[in-house]
Amino acid sequence: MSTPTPGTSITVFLNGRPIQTVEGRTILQVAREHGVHIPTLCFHEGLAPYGACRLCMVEIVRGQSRQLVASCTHPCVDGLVVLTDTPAVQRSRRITAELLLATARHVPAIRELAAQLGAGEPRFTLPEDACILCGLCVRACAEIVGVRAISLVNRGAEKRVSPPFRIASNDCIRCGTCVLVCPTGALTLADIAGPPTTRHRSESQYEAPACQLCGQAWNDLPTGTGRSQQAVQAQTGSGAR
Amino acid sequence: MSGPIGVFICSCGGRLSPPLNVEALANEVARWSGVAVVRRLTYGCSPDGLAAIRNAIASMDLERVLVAGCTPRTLAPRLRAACREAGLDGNLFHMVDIREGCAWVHGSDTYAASEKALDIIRAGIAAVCARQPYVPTSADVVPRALVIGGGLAGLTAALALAEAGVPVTLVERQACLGGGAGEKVAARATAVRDCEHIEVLTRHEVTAVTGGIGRYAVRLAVRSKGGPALVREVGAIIVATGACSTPVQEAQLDGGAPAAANRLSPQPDAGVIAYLLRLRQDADGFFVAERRRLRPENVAETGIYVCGAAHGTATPREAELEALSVAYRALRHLRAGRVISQAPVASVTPERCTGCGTCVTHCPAAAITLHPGEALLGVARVDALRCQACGGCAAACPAGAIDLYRASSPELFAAIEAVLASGTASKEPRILVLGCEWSGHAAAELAGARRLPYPPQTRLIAIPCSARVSAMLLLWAFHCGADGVLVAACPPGECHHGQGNRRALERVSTLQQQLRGAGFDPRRLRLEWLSPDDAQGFVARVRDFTDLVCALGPAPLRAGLPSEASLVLASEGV
Repeated sequence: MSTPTPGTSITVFLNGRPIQTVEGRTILQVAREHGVHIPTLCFHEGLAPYGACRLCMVEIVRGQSRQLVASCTHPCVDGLVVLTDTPAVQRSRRITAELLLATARHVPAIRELAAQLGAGEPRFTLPEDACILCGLCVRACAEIVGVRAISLVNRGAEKRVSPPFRIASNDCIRCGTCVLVCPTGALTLADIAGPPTTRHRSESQYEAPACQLCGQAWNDLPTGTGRSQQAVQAQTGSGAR
Repeated sequence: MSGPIGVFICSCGGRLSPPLNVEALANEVARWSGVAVVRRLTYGCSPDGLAAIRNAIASMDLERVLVAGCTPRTLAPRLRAACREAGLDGNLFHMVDIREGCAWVHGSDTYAASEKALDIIRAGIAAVCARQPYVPTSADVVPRALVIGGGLAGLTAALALAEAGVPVTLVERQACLGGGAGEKVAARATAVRDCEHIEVLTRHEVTAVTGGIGRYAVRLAVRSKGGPALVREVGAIIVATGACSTPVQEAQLDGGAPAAANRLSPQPDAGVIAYLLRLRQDADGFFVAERRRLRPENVAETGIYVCGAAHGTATPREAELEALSVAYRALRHLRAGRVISQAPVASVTPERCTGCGTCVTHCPAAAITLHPGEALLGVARVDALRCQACGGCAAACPAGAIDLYRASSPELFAAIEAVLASGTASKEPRILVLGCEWSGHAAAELAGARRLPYPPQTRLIAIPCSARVSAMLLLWAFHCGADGVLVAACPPGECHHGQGNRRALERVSTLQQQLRGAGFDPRRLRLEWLSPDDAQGFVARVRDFTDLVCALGPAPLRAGLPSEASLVLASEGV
């Protein structure tokens, strides 16, 4: 459990209101518990905080300086001053919503959220894509189900949710948890689940790139001591522990 | 009877209202007998909510806990863990869904939604009160592996395991290692012979396997000679028996271009290995390379792996990769050192068991065996580590001797009765949906998450697999006042427990015929195939079925009149 018990009692100031809480809570947890609404898309109580969607931004005040932080990951400390609805917060959320609209403009949940946050027609448009890369599906599969059939692959504009090597996964157990937690309905099991086989498959859409150090493609490497040992350590975690 | 039960109703930060008034629900539940305490929580899943549950368990000595809130699919593990921290048996924690299963789908009808929410909570209390504490089974894993077959796949797997420091016994029927040949294989055979961690037994065969998961005692005998047999205790067995090529006669290739002259077929004794290791074979006799789609907590690693041509055509490259793949999987199993079956499984009441063996044939995991006992035919025993908790045995047992812990007959009967209880006073029809957790129930939850409305007369009960549906359960539902019963199962071929949906179809069809014979409209009982991500499909089927049941009017049993159907219930054996 992430909750330290018994935790040190602390006071935080949420929109000017002093609130007694316990050290170790995040700003978002305290705000939710005390009825202060903070919009989020990537937060789920069953999962570790992730800080991907940036909708839960709040302002914290330290003397003269103010800072925008993600409330889902920022821990509360004694005397913390939090403002959840300042013009800076509103602007940040509005821009985030507008960026979400750039790809997920056809998703009712996103349109509704954007309307609440005052984001109008987006100034940017990209090809329609319901997936907002919040990572809920990936994290639910790993943390709740314990299967890890999907992950976030690639970086930047190429980032997407996919089973390893874009091959329909035979690890997927078709439990539907990923579909259930997806806030935009971007996912179907047909995208993920492959035939339930234990056979190892080696074909992929990916070209095996040559190693930058030795120049050999991965597939050509001999199955000698070195590689096997590394693979063993990677798979069993014995090397790290 | 059960001890004090605490009910926690989560308001999900006010997202249940409308239509549900959590305070009113809590006040009503507090009046029910047997309920020690009712607490409202803003967010049951938040650290404060979890702390409130833990404190209540500790301060009030609660023996059972029911949380009514969102779908258990995502948050039950976290809440159960919190209950365990407070000293409660995690299996005496139960969670029911009044958010996706009620508030979010019946938003326009406060009265019907509140009535349904109370039904759901009542069923949850009934279910958790019918449970007993559960002790998980576990077994130590012997850190030693056996590889059957000295071909390319077997040699590769043995080397990979030996490199990782695992003592390996390699068994080969022939006099020399090598199998399918090739110069690469020869080099690897030399490496295996030179390796100090590998014991090579050529001209040996596996003749018996005893023991169970974690510790298999394998008997190895010299082939076709009565020589002394060796016994090796191992935690993992890798089957790399390969295939043999048989020449195909010209006559079989009717015309056309001359095809490959050889056809791969499984080893002639593949059936023996399959029998000893409880592996499944396909129509050709190859081992089925099938992974059961089950939750990790429901499936203990058996420690038996197949690689290479033993389960069909494989190029040398594929065989090699597969061998490495299974070797590392075996290694992870061996290094874990212990197998624990977390999820509650089936158990036998020996005094009731007649030894008929029905459960043995119904078990998809080969977890049940008959042992000599006082009964003439022996007594069934469940291997808790192999059991996948589908409940097929509980539905099939004619003597009611075997039951599944978290979906036992007493629990399901109590839950069905409780969830339909408000219907006796209501003029509204009652539809019971028995949804397989893998398909129908998942689709219902998804419909809730997407807030797709469906008729509020529907009551949902989750079952672990449609194999759990028995005629008694369905008749009990009608007896308790259901006007229609819908079984929502996985589509054909997609059952996570093998043949569960086919068994459900057989039972539903049989019962429909019996109901017709008893003058009870068989259309009130229906089986639907559903995918877990088909929320629209769930809503459409439930609407369609509700329309039909509404048109048929109240079921004869509901009017409180004795009817022929109740005679069926009384006479029905299974």
